[in-house]
Amino acid sequence: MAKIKTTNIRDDLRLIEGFRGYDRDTQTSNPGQNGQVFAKQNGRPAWVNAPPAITQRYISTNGIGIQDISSTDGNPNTNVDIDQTLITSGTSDFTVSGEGAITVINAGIYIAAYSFTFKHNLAGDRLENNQDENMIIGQCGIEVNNVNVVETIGRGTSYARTGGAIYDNGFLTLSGDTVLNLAANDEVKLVGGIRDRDGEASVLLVYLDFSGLTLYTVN
Amino acid sequence: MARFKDTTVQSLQFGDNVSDGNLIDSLNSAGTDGQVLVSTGTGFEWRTVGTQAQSRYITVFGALPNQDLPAQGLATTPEDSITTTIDLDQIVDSSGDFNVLPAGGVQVNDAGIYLVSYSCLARGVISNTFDQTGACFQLNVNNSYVVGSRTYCSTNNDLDISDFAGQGIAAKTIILSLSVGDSVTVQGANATEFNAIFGLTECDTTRSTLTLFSFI
Repeated sequence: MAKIKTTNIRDDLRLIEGFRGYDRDTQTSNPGQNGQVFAKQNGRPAWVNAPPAITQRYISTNGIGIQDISSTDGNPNTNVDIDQTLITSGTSDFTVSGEGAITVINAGIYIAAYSFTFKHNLAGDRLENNQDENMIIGQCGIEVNNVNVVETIGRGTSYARTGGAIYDNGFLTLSGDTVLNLAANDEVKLVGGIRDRDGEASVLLVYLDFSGLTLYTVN
Repeated sequence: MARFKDTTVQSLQFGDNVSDGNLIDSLNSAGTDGQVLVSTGTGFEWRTVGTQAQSRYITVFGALPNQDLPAQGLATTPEDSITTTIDLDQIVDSSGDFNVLPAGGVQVNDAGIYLVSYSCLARGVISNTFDQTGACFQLNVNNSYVVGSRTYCSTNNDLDISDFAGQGIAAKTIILSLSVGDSVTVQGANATEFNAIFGLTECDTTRSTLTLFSFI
């Protein structure tokens, strides 16, 4: 084989056959395999595997209508029925159950963000002023495989008021986000609950159109 | 033209300067900027392949500490219209891939999947003898409501304690598929159900943000 040292090509170099790179492992030159790209590796030009393309996996959900939550055991443990897919990278990445739980198909590090919009019902506490009777605490959080992610639990106070024919009953949105390290087939869902100090059978009205869960990852 | 067969070259330099000289592939192509050499197994071609991940991002905030949030109905159903654009026109940081709208909001220059989030601080306005107020916010794309993006916060005042204005934050994160030239804005309104009589609210845009983020 002819050997030429540093060579200047004034115009073009046309190769009829292969363009060989250096394989450090075998200490031989090779023409590359189909799909490999020519790049510098270990200090020498070589054919290397092309970097994988970026893949974004994502889903955002919400729900329809109003869901009543009346459990008062102090824990957010009622599934929030956000089963409408607003946007997704595909069913090969996520599936959504009829109760709003999202199953991730691929393991990875995900950003998870939720919103939970609620107000006080009118049938329970309707006394005036800031009395215990017209206050409830709504709460929510993310569960992974039916276990609360404690750091995501949000709480907020809603007041119901009377004012003659007009009244306010305290729309409120709780929002939060976190990073989740999820395994394939992990189930992620938004859960809600209510705390009612006076126990007057108050109900939390969850506005599902304005509640939702988002998962996003890149790999 | 000189012809060599099975020749080993220690190094090749194309042209006397950077502007001339080419490496011609088996399709008779000299390649274009950004293309790489891809092996066909027996020869090679210049091809455009997946590039390194790049992020496009922007966060904007506002300069108005008390932008009025007018009453616009009850704002309690998806059909209720919210038309006041929150004036978020100051850049915190940006990759340079966006235009900031003078009235607030962001226009994207590249189509893609974006992680979009906003966070808005609202407060009640001390102006009357009733203290219960609230505010709501949402995302619009090209002046249309983004389904699922609305949030609410309480801004209850407590007039029993020296006119103390209540404050609250409404925030949302959602995925949007955006096209070139799409405009993303945050809209706000008074969400106090009796707002026609009581309870003014305002947005502190200096403590409110809109963020768009995408990988390409």
